[in-house]
Amino acid sequence: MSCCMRDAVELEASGKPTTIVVNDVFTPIAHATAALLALPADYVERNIVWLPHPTSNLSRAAVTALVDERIGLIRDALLGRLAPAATAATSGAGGDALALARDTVAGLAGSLRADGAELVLLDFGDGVLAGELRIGDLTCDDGSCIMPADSLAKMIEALVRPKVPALREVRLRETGNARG
Amino acid sequence: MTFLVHDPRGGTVAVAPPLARRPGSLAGLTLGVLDNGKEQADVILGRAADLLAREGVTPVFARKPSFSRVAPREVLEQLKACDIVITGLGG
Repeated sequence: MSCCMRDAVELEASGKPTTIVVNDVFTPIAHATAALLALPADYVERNIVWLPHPTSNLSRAAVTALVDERIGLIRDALLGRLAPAATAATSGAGGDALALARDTVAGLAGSLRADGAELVLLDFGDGVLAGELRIGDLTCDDGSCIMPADSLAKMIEALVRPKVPALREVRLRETGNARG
Repeated sequence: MTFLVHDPRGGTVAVAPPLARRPGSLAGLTLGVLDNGKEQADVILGRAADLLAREGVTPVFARKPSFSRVAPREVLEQLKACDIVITGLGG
């Protein structure tokens, strides 16, 4: 998903309106990538059209029907008319920085878990958020379905910093099975 | 001898990238369709292209060799020749 968004951003920068059609399981990754790429706050809502996950096990007719139901949204996104849905206010959380960080990356952690990796935030101190990316039985043979720990750390930093201004750095250590 | 130099910057951008100006209508536009190769992506994007073609766009199809990598330069250049683009994946 993050590569898909990077392609879209490059095309947008060259003046080509680009709409992404993707399964809704990637919603957390989309928001995390948007934060990492410094995209506008409403980029995801305005430029991505969601399909219910999974689609890989659906018949061709069923997948076609999903697209038929959403073609108006795709058209509106291409024309810049896709209005952001009203979103629920985020909870104040209020608790300590580590709890707030964990809450912020919960969706991202769920996406990683679906691909066989566990993201665990362990500690926050002196502006440093420390955690582990525990590689388990990945859904891909070459390990490419989980982004490298250093890239993931940057993504987490972009997601968490707006909520935890004291955050200076995210340190993520990769543990568990070797990739590929 | 060949040296491979790895860029440590990792593609992160520090400032908000510009977004394209949207067209007033789709009629007469060329639609780039970027398939990332995941299951059903061709069906999903192909159907969308078929439906948008009924509104006057001309689809141009491209495919990425890997969904876990950004599109190769030549693929992006092909799409930059289009007016608008849709991309995506299944799963």
